[in-house]
Amino acid sequence: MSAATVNNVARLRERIMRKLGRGSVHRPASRFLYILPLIILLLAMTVYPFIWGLVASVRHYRITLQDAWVGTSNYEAFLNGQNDALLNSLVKTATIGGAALALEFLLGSLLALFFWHSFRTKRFLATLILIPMLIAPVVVGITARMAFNDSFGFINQFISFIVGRNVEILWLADTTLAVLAVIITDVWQWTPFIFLIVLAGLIGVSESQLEAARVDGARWWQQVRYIILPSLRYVLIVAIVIRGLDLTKLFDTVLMMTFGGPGTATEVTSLTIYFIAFRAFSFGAAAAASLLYLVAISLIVALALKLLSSDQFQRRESIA
Amino acid sequence: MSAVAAERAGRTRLPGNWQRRFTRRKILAFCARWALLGLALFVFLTPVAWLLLLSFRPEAQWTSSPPDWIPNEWTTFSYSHMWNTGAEAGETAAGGGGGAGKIALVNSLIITMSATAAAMIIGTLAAYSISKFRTGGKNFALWVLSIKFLPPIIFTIPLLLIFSDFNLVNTYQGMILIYTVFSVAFVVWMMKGFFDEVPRDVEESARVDGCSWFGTMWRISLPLVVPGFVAVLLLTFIFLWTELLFAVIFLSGDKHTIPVELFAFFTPNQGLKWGPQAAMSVMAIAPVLAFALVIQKYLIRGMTFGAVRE
Repeated sequence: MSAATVNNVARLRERIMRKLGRGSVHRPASRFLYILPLIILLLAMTVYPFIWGLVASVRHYRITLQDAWVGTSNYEAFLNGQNDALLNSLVKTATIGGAALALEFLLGSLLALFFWHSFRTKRFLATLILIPMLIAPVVVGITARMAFNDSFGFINQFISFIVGRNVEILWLADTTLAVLAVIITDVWQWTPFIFLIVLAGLIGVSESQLEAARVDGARWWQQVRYIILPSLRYVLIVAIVIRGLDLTKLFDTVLMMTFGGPGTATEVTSLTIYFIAFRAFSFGAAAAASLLYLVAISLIVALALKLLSSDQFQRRESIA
Repeated sequence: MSAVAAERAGRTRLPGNWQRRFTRRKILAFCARWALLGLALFVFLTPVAWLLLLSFRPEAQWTSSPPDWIPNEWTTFSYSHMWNTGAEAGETAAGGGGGAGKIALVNSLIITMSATAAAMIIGTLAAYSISKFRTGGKNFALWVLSIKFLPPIIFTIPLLLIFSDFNLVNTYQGMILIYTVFSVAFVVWMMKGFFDEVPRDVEESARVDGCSWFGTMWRISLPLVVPGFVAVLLLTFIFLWTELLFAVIFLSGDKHTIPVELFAFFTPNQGLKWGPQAAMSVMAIAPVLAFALVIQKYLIRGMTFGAVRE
C-alpha cells in the first residue's frame, strides 16, 4: 500500500468519525443508539408495509388467494370511472370535511370572541365546553345514531318542541339529511377544539393596542378586524391544518352512525377503502385506493409539516 | 354619544358610581353573554346527559317515542348486562364478534397500557437524541411526525397481509405492536418539545461533573420534564383507548377491545340493545374524562402537536 493510499484511508476514516461525532462532547456516537429502536420499528411497520402495499396494488389480491399480476388495472379502474366508489367517496369527504371545517371555525371563533373576558375568571366553564371533544368518536357515533333516530331521537323531539307540532324527520334515511347529520355531529364534537385554540390565541392579543383603539373610538367589529384577527393568524392556520387532516381520517363516527349509508351517501374515503377490503375482499384494489388517497392528501400533509416546523411560527409562539 | 346620554340619564336615577357600572347597555350585554353561554353549554352537554340517563333507564324506556329523559325507575340493569353478557357473538364486517364487557375491559387495559409503555420508552429515548443532538436532522423528525398525520386506513391493508403471514392477527402482541408504532410519532414529537425547553447549561454542568449522557438524561433532563411526560403518557393512553379502525380489523372473538365491542352491538341478531350500549359507552369515556381533567393544562398543547400553548 502506498503512502498516499494510507493517507487517504486515514482521512476518510477521520471524516467518517467526524460525521458520526465520535469523541465529540456535544454529539456522542451513542445518540444513534437512542433512536435505533424507533428506526427499526418504523422500518418494519411503515416502510415495509408501504412497499407491500405497492406490490399488492398491482396484483389481483383476494382473500381466496387467486393471486395474479394485473399491472395497473386496479388503478385504472378507479381513475377511468369504471369503479366510481373512490371518486364518489373523495367528493363526500371533501363536502363533509369542508362544511364541517367552515362551521366549526365560524362557531368556535365567535364563541371565543364572546367569552374571551368571561373565561379568564371562569375556567371551569371552559372545561365543561371541552367535554364533546374528549368523548371517543365511537361513542359520539353511537349517541348521534340515537339522537337522530326518527322515533326515539331527541333531535326530532326538540324540533317538535320548537315548531309546536309533532315532526318526524327521517334524518338517517335521507341522502341529503344524513350528510347534514354527519356534519352536525362533527361540528358538535369539534367546535370546542377550535374554541379552545382561539381562546389560547386571544391571550396573546395586546391589551394596550385594544385600549388605544377603544380610545380612538374603534367599534367592536373594527377591533376584531384590525387587531384581534391579525394576531390570531397563527393559531387559526394551525387549527385549520390540524382539523383538516383529522377530517381526512373520518371513520369511527360515520361507521357507528350511518355505516356509510343510506346507500353510499355518507361513505367517506376511509370507509370506502375499508368496504373494498372487508366486504368485497379485494385487497389489491383496496391497496391501490389507499395509495391514490395518500397522493390526494399528501399536499395537505406537506403543508402541515412545513407549518409545524417553520421557524417563523416557532418564534412567534415563544413571544406569545 | 348615546352612551354618554344614557349615563347622564342614569345619573338622575342611580346614586354614586352605580351609573357607571350599570348602564342599560352593559346590563343588556351581560344578559346576552350569559344567555349565549347557557345555550352553548346546553348544546354541548345535552347529548352527554342523554347518554348518561339512557344507561340508567329500564328496558321499556330505551326506545320510547317521544323519548323519556328521566328514567321511571333508576336501574343498573344496562351496566350488569353490559358487564356480564355484552354484545353476543355477532358478525362484524371483519368477521369479529362480541363478548362480555369485563373481557373487553381487560383486553383494552392490557393492549392500551402495554402499547403506551412501549411507545413512551422508545419515543422518549428517540426524542432526547433528536432534541439534544439533532440526530437525523430536521427531515427525520418530520418523517416521524408525518406518520401521525396520514390516515391510518392506508396502512391497514398491507399490515393485515403481513400480519397474517406472521400469525399476528387477533393477538395481543400484534395489536400492541401496531398501537406502539402509531402512537410513538406523537410521543417523539411532544417529548422533543419538552426536552427542547430544558436549559443546556443544566445538562452541561452535569456532564462536566462526570455524568454519562444516559445518566444526564435519566437524572437531570427527565425529572425536569416529568409534568410533560405524564401529560404525553395520559394523552397517548386516551388516543389508544378509543381507537376503533385498527382494532376492528385486527381483533375479533375473545381479543376484542371496548370500541370493537361497541361496534359489535350493531349486528342484525342483536336487536336494539341501546341501554347496555350506552352503559358501555360510559365505561369507555369515564377514564378519558378523568385523565383529561388531570392534564387540562397540556390538553391544547397535546392536541395541536405542540403548536399552540396556553
